[in-house]
Amino acid sequence: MGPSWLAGILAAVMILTAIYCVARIVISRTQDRQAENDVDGVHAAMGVAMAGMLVARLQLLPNVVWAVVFSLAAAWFAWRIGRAYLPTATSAATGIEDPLPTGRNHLVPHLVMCGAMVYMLLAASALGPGSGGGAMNMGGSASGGHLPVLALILSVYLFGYAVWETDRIHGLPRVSAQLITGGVASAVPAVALPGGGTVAEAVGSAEVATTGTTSTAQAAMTAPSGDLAEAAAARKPVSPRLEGCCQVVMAVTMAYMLVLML
Amino acid sequence: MSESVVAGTPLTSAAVGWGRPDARRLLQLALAAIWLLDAVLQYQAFMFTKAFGQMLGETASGNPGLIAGPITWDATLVEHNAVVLNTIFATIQLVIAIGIAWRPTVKIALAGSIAWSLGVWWFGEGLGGILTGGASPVNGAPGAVLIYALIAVLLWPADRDAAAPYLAARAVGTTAAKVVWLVFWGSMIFFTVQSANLTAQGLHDMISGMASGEPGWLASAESHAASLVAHNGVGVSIILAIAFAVIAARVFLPIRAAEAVIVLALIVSAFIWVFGEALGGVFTGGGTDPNSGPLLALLALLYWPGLGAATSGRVAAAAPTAREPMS
Repeated sequence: MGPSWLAGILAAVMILTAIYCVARIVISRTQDRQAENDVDGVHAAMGVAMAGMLVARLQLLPNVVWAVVFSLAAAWFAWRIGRAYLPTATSAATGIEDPLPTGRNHLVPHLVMCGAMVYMLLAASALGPGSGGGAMNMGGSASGGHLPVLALILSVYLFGYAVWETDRIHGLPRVSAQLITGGVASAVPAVALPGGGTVAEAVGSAEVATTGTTSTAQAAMTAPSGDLAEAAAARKPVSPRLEGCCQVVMAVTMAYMLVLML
Repeated sequence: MSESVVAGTPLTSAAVGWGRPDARRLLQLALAAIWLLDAVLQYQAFMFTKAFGQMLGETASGNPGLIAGPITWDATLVEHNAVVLNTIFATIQLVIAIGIAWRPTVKIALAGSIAWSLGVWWFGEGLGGILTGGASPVNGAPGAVLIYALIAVLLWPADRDAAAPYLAARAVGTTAAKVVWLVFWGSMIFFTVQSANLTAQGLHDMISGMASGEPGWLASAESHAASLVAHNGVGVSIILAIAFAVIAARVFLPIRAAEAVIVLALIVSAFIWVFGEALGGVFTGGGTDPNSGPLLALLALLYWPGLGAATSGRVAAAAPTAREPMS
């Protein structure tokens, strides 16, 4: 159990995070920018669900319904991870392994976070009628022997993920119109490539790969040089650094909620 | 990322703007994760009550007046301003964790963690009880936070010794690293064979006392361990002291033997953490940190043969830019 004022602050942060994730989806759709809409959508749902767990008045749906939602999300990420491990058509044809397997590792934390949500929601539901949401605040009781070791393992994973992601954020590209259209192009020699693309454009595309938000850069690295122009015409990603910050905040908040369940 | 592009690094480097952490950076991140756990534990409801101040005050017991006086003053202050002060304490730990994890601030955060650890060692842990005559490595002596400070020093992003045989030697040099290891594990021998710990039931009482408030499986493990050492406290303590002596001798041993000793140190750390410290009491709602077990393991890894030397070359290659304090 944590102090209620802290639960209120964290709930507000979660709602802001959810709003931002929805905004990412809207921006990516309306401005034709790259983002993982499934990840953003799940994060938005997580933000709303966690806010409801922290403050009872903010609970939109019953815990069991949320648990079903995150079970489906976990299944989706598990399928995507599994698919990423299968050889791609390109690598099967060429025998060359995909140099930027962005689809594998960066999805695992989302899978774990979905699992953690299911765990927390079911544990909160098991507290019985009346506990409802807000189980994490001072007035409720989140404990009760619901596999506390699992809560500890999940929280340790999330602590590790949070510091790993914080370390990674510094290396993520700052995405701005200047970087993509001017900064990179002016800094890197605009050597013409077959098909009309340039090295500078390819760099701009390849940078995107560090966010794990696109396969365009992978295409740039693996596709025949004639396709580089197409690959280089990558859309700008939606603020990878801010996305990383959201993931850190969400992981730390979730770990805090899990610690309260120990 | 844009810096490396501007600097004219090759396309492949530009595509990977984030240098994958080397061994030292990984251990820095492990330290950051432990600080993060500390911060979250500090935000638990118990810490915002008077009971937390009273818990701090108990560490004054048995200490000389010069040490106990400030602890009592501090504990009283915390008791009367629990919410404000605990919020500050927890937030400081959160900032330290994020600071270590965020590459541009790693040095200032490590420096902050050293200062904070030393302060907590005195005001929060009563110097780990080393002046009380009853400190035992089995329950955390010479103090978990002291080990935080020690690790922060050894993980400092500097390279004093280009041919460092292990990570700890990179920051402080091989000789200093050896001295640190010897003094630390030597002190563990000293605390283990103190008269208060060389009693037939001393270890039994210590371990069985940790079962209180723990979940069933852990309480059961504590009870079984306590019954195993019942009436054999002297013998078990001597065996533990011999183990510490072997570990302390690591710096004089050839690589193969040194590796075996580090494995022994990891096993002893796990034993201490599970049975002596009950995982730092994190399941009780009153644990402020995971105690010394994980820190002992982290310290041991810093002395794994070849770890520093094997990765130092890769650090430079993987660094995103020359001016970044990667590790």
